[in-house]
Amino acid sequence: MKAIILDHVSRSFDGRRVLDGLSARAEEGKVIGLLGRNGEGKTTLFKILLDMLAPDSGGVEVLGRRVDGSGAVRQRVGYIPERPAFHDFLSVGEALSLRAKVFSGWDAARVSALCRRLDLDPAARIAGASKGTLGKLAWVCAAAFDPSLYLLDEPTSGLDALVRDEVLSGLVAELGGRGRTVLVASHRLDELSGLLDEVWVLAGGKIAGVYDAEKLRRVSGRASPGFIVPEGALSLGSEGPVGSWAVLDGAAYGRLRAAGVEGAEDEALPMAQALKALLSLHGGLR
Amino acid sequence: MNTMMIALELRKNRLTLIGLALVFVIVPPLAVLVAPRAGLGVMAAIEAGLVLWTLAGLPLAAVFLGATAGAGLRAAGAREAESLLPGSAATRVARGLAGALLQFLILVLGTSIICAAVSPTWRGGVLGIGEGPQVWASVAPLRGLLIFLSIDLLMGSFLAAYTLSHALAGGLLGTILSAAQGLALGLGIEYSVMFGDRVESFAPLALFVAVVALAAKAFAVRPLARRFESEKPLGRGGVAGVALLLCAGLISSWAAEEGAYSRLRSSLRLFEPGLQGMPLIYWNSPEETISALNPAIRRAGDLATTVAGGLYWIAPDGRTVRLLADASVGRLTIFTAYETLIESAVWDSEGKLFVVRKALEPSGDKKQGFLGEPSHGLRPVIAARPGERVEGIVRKGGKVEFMMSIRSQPLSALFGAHRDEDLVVALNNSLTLQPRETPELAAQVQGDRRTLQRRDPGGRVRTWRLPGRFPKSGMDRDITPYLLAGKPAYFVPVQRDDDQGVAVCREDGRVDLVWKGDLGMLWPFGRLTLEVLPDDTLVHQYGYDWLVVDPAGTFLAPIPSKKLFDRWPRPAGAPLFTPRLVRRAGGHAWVIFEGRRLVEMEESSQVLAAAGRGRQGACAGGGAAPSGDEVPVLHPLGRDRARAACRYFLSRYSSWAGWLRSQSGWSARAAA
Repeated sequence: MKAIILDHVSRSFDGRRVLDGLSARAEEGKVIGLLGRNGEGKTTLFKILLDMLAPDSGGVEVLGRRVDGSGAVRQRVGYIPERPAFHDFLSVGEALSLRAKVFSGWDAARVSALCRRLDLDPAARIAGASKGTLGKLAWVCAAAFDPSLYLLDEPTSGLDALVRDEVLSGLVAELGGRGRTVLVASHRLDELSGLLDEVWVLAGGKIAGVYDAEKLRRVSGRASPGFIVPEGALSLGSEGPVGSWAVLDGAAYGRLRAAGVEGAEDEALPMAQALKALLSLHGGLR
Repeated sequence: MNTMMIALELRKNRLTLIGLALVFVIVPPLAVLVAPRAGLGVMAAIEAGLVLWTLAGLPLAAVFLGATAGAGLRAAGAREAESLLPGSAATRVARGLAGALLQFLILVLGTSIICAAVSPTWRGGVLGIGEGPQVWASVAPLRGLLIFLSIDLLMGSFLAAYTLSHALAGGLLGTILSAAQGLALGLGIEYSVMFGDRVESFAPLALFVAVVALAAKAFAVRPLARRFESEKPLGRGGVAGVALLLCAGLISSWAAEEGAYSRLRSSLRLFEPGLQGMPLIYWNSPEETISALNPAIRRAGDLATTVAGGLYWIAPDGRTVRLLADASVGRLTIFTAYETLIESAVWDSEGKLFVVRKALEPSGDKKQGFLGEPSHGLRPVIAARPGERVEGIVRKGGKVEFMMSIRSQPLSALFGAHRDEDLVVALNNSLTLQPRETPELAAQVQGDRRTLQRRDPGGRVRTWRLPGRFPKSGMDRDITPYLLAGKPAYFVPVQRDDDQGVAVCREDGRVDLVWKGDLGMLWPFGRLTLEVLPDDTLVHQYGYDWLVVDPAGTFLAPIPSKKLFDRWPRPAGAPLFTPRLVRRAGGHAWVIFEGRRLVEMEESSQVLAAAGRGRQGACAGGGAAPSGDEVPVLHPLGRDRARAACRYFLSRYSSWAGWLRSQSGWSARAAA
């Protein structure tokens, strides 16, 4: 079963088309990085998947159910917003208790464990809480009912380095390992190196490319005279006679070697470079 | 929606609720401060303050609670916090609305319990219980209106504030919409309370409007939530639809009120200094002036008036013809309607109809005359001289004329010495003449108070010896005859020792004491007016009973009407409208009750056989004419659509007109 099916989804705001016939499929159990520049519609896409925002047109299915405006999908999707918000007259514990009443799969033991793990004090007041505390609370809320799908919108925003590591190398890795589907948008996708299965590039209101994270490679070698960068490969620069190229899939790697790169060595493409390359490829990097 | 979510809603707007509760707390100290200036005692001022809180403070509190909750839902923080929870956008908005309603309920209950505990005035005034002033007793629907308006204010303010994302603007808009709607309903209710005797209660219509208003607002939640939560544009049709839903109560309330605009203007006139203290006069009907005593009138059909001055002719064949449209609904419609605008309507022997209609202005009463044959319509009477105007109708020497006057001059100056048979009465600043009814066949009680005498057209004198003495004063000595078994008969009040009653003097010379009872009730206003039914049955209302003489001249046992009042009790404070017996046949009697309900009952047992009721239907005091196959019942405002609302089978109009035709010689003399 597909965890996410987006079928020609469009959405405009004040005449500006943010999503323009976007289509995509997410397999269950995949950890997918959503890549796009600011304003490309990542948050809009998340809200549509969460049934918080209605698309102008197109169909959306999440975990096998059509998103219909009832908000029922949120019972099965964990969401970390970029700026978590809670009623400021509540304490952390009250915010959690409130959600315990409305989320059917709420697991109190899991909540306690998460609070301990993230060092979150249930007695803390939300009013005046730090960005980090709100971020941790958002994580607990999203994971407390063990949903099948996680939508993470800048999930480490506001977290300090220690917590960030705990969240990324701990929680996200654990989720991926337990077969949960994760769609994560972050400006720090490089932090997720090794965790991602796929990368979706959101550009021009569409998913402009879907890439297998493992096949994103950096190739270094000496280019022969008359060498032309083949399709699917991008130059990353050169140091003297040795050049570096990013290849985005296996076929591009073969084409690059065939085009005349001598002494080629390949390694995993660092995510930061991969992102630049992908954005550049899809016209999003200027 | 679980209790946790409800608790959340209550906590979100707790500051507003606390603030309103504090306002309530400061009402008594404020009232104490104001008491000396208002000339009230301390306790009286506090009690007045509590009543004011309930009547004005609570509706205002509803606006505050609704507006703050509505605008709060659109606030970014709350929206972000709540939109992640499962459930539709509409559920979230509905939850917010329910929370505000619950807060309002808490405020109402909390403050009302305190008010009821400390204030007898409040208990009597608001709840209508105990010894306090029963201010709601006669206008109970207004209490319902207050409850509805409070809820409507809350919902309207909530939705408007949510739509505009602004508490103040939303509260204002919601208040304006609800207030305009409440005004229309209030006027309608007020109207039906004031004219409870002749118009259908407005309460059912108001209830319908209330349901429409609240349901429409509830239906508006979903599209609005979709627009602002899911940010789905509504489109032009959607916007129009939502606007229609939000204004449904307003539109339906004013649509329910055909005369609402004029009533509004009338109400506003109340505040003008000249009108303060204006007495409200209740005058049942113009029956006396459109009496059925005169055979010519019976032959010409019946007349019915509307409270707005419309005049209808109900022809002998059952047709109803509008002779005069309602007067331009004036600024004083509500109040002038207490006096029938048609002041008098008199037929002359040639079948012409003379009508005087009042058009009251605050400065005084202005009158207008109309003349014509009903089948050809009436035309206004034009004054012959500048400043001259119609004052009334006078019958002089068998002729009927309009009395014209110049306001500054007394009538005597215009007419010279008045005739003995005309009464001179003072009217405003001038004199007017009113005729004594002296039909040709009338008999006179002689000076000895024991003899009744009539001079026939041929000069012969008929004399009857009364079985007692005619009362010394207060009674009209001219006795008009009624037909009894086809012959004229005279009903005369008599006193005998400690006994009093009515004697009937028949054409064959017999004299019987037929009805015993209190003369004040038997003979009200110095004269006896019997109802003549189409089959010549004579009916007289005596307290709760009808005294009936059948067409054969037999005096029947009284028919009580008490059971009707038991079946349909009058609301407290509602005026009494005498039930009118309109038909008898086969042991059954048909009654127009409260001026709008046609009831059939068994004469002997008074068991109700059937009851019909018009939608708005009412007859303006005698406006129902049992002619043709039905009882046409006129709407008090003269609207045609309601005229046929209450139809009921009746036997054909027959004997009286038929007998007159066969006895044309007698009827001609009587008509003259």
